[in-house]
Amino acid sequence: MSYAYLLKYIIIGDTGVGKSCLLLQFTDQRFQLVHDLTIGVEFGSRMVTAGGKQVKLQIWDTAGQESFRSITRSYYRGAAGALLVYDVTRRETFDNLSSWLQDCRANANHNMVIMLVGNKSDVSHRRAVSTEEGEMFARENGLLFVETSAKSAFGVDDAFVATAGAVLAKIDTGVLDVKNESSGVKLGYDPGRKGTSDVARLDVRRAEPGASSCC
Amino acid sequence: MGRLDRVAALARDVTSATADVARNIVFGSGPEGEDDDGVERALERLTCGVLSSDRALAGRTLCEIVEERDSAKARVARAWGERLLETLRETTDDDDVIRAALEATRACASGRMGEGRDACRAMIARDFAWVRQLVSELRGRDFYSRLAAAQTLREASESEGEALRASAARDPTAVPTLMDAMKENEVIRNEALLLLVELTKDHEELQKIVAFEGAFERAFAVMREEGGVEGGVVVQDCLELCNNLLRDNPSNQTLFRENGFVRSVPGLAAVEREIGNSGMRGISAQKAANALCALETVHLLVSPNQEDGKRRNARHDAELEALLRQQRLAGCRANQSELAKTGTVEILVRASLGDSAVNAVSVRVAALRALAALVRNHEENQTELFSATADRAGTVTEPALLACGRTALHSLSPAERAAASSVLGASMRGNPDGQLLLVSTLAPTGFGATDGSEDASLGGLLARALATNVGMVYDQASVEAARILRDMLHRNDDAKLKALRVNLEPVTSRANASELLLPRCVRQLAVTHTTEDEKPQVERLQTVILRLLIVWLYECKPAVDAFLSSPGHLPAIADLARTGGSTESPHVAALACVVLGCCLLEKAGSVLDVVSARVGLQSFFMKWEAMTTSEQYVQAAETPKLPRALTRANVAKLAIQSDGEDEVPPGEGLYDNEITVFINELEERVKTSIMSMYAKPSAGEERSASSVIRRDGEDDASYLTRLQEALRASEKELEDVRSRNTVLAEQLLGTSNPAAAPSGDEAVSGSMENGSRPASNEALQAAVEAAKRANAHEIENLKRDLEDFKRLADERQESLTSLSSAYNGLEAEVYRLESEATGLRAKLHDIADSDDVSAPDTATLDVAREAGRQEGRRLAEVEFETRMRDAVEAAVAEAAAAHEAELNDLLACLGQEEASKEHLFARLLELGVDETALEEDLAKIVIGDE
Ligand SMILES: Nc1nc2c(ncn2[C@@H]2O[C@H](COP(=O)(O)OP(=O)(O)O)[C@@H](O)[C@H]2O)c(=O)[nH]1
Ligand SMILES: [Mg+2]
Repeated sequence: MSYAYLLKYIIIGDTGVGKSCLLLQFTDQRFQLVHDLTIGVEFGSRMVTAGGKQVKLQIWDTAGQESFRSITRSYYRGAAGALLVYDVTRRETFDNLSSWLQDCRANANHNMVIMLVGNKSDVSHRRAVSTEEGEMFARENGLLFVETSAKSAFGVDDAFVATAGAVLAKIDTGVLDVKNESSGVKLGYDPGRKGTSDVARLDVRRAEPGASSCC
Repeated sequence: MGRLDRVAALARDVTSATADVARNIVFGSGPEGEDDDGVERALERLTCGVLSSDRALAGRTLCEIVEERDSAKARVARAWGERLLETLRETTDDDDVIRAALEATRACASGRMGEGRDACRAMIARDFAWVRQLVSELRGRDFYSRLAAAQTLREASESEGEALRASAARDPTAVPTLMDAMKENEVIRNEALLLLVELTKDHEELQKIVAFEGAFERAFAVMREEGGVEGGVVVQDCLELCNNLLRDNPSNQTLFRENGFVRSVPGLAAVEREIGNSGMRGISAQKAANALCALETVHLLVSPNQEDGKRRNARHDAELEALLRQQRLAGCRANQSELAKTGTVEILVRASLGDSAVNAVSVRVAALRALAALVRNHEENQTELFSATADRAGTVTEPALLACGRTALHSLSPAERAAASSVLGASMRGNPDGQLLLVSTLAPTGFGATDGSEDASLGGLLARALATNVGMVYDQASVEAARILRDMLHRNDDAKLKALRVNLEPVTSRANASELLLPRCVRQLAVTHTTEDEKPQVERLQTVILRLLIVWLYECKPAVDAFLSSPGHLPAIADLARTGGSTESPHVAALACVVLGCCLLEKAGSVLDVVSARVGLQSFFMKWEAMTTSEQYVQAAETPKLPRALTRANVAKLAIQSDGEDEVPPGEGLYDNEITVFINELEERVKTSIMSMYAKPSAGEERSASSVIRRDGEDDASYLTRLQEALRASEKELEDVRSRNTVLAEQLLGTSNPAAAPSGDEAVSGSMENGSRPASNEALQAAVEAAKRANAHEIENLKRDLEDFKRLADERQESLTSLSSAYNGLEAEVYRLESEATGLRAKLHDIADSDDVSAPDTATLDVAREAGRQEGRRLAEVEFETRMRDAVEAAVAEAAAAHEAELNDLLACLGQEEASKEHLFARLLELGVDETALEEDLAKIVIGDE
């Protein structure tokens, strides 16, 4: 399937806020009480339409690296978008946001689009962070904002697609250079356009059967 | 550094130089001197000098000195690391000095092997500050500085990989920087590539970030530039990097697949026989190495096995384990399908089989292994392989599977034979139609060369191999053929039945003989060895044949029947189980036991008697245990692991190896993981089945309480006949139990019965004395437990039956009492009548001799007496039944109670059982004396009535 752009995303945030569930909901449309340690679903991808274009999103769930926070930081530079997730039922995950932002600012390329995600919005009776607080934090720090429920799928697609929209807007206005590989954006595979594919194609060489077969 | 500091440093420098000069004048420059070679001086000048040119010169001097002397490197590592690092950290404006310092550092970490060099490498790799500094130097302005930094890190990674990985994982800029370096000038790119190869070994987090940073794109771009499989060592390095990233890493494999790289892999593995001007020659070592790495890539993509030691520390429950396995399998399937799209089967077939096969055996072996993994359980690829062809001798085009069979049977390289055989196995796995198709071709197609070069089908090839080995000697081809035959029959009933009818005698044969496949295979087991060298071969042949029999006979009654129909088969296997064949192999013995186990499940009684008589039950289970605890078995039982990774070092060796053998398969090829899983399950079933035969010999034909109760409208005569039958059956059953118990007891006591058991049992009792007894105790205890579990339900039933019988017995007791009093009354009456009659007779005699009036009276008497006796007999029957049930119940209850006790308890239990049986038997005999007389009387009456 051809696409105009390929965007690399990362999902960051404290342990247990629902990063893995968000990815699974987005790529597989299912919710699963996943085990505490992130398994397998560390990478996922999906095609979406954003800004009228087919865009392929490749998403890395960094949860596996929580014991290596420094490695998590390695991902910032090469990502076009980041979902910064907190848990609306756990105040401390919201309080930790500034430290995550600091990490981003220190390591990410400055064009990275950050989407603040308040997850677990389905648990209304134990809410510890109001929607307004989330909105305010996002506004103050220049982030996009959305509340989601990985359980009910509410807002999940929106979180990913809106981020893609913001990245595409940066491309359109020339703020973001697609030629720079470390921007986390790649021009897609489009048969009509020459030299845009990054897919290495090595010809299957086949020697001709030996001409000499006399005996 | 401030100006003042520099002046001070200069002063220090001058002072020390002066001191050196003075020292040299006084003592001469002897080897004992600390700075005889000028290292300290150069370092001092490099790190603290003022003039840029001075410091650069000192750097060069330093390089020259350390290149020569390992001891100088050692001194740098010991005392100067900090100063050097400081210099790098604090010099920001002087490229010459930076370069000088970096080049000096590189010189210290490289060169000939030596303690000093390794100490320098450790100093760098184990210090996070050093690694971070060198990584930042990789982003510097000056090309030579960047190069020196890259080389230093790469040198350090050679002996300090682990430390370097840990440091690199702490620096978030490390991987992104190295990935940028991959886009640089070739020289730096190659260094960065090698460094990345080291960093991604066994480090999942680094593997993921490297893949995230676009390593696959870079690697494939480089390979394309370098000419693909024809390229140099850089191509090999790129493949090694990719393999590191893909090895047991599902998320990287997904990325690899999604970005379209799977399709590019087969082209890198497309190697074929090359014909040059000088005739045939092997492909170049480099090309072989490239192909080997690309074949490893294919293998990693389609093998669901895990990396050895990975996730060792992760706490995984069974559920998660299953989930992960499922995930890996799904990934493999996706990769198999992706590879199917690019004709990978054909590429691998051409590389490994027929005229096109590459003339480097290690590459052929790798291609065959990759092919096996590619087709296993994948319908599309299997179909592809079944229809693939290979050319032979330039003239014949034949099925690739036939070519593969030929390789499996006749290749000179054991590794190649094994790999080809695994391709055939994989092509039939999960492919019942394919199995059946191949079985249906099993027939020798005429007299031809023994190397099978004239056979036109795989089945014909195998049949010939199995048929031609008439002398009882080891024959490689027939062993391989038996191995392949096993895969044809694996869990496929239709195939097993079809194979039973295979006649190995060629149709063209004039003799009207028939030679069936199954007996042919069994006969091969009789092979013996004459020299010590032949021992492993004989062991291998026997284990292969036995494993074939296991697959064939398991859960296939017709096959077991066919096997048992030849009277010699069972004893032959039993003897093999006892002795382990001429090589006395514990593996042969145990696998023969497994064959017996398979028979036992289908034909319990007769097989059990042969087993207990010829092998001995204790010994039977001891053999299983000896096998399941053997090193080979334990190795094979571990979950299968991916083969060792190919690295620059081992690829070079492998590429030129002539026999293609690189590692011994786990279990030395005697076992594989699958059979260990099977045997572990089977052992339980066999134990249960044997135990239940002891606890409940007449399973299936169990008499219920109703069988000894009089049926409605049943007359005395037929009821009696039925009771007699039941009694006889019980007696027979008791006899069986007694004889089995006797054998069992004898075996438990270690006193073999020379009459019942053939010679050779000394070995058994001998080995028991050698401390094997506890092990067999465990086996028996386990068996008792298994039986107990299996019998729990049965015990309930028996209890209920017992209650019924008790009630019945009470009722009978009552009627017995009343009957006996009636009988006594009757006897008294008879006596009275008799005496009366006597009196009368006497009177009559006395009075008149003419008439006999006593005859009718006597007849009445006899009938009455008979009625009483009949009732008594019936009661005896009932009593016997009750006691019989009692005894069985007691035995079972004892077995249950004894589950924690050891041998003594078991013996006691058996003793009790014996005792109660003795008691019962004694009773029976008591009754029997009367019975015989009664029966005879009765028979007369019954016959007379008819
Ligand atoms: N109710 C609710 N629970 C969620 C939601 N998302 C995740 N969870 C739960 O939160 C826990 C942590 O989720 P996980 O995705 O593993 O968090 P991660 O550590 O950030 O990857 C799990 O028990 C999930 O079932 C959500 O939207 N609603
Ligand atoms: Mg997670």
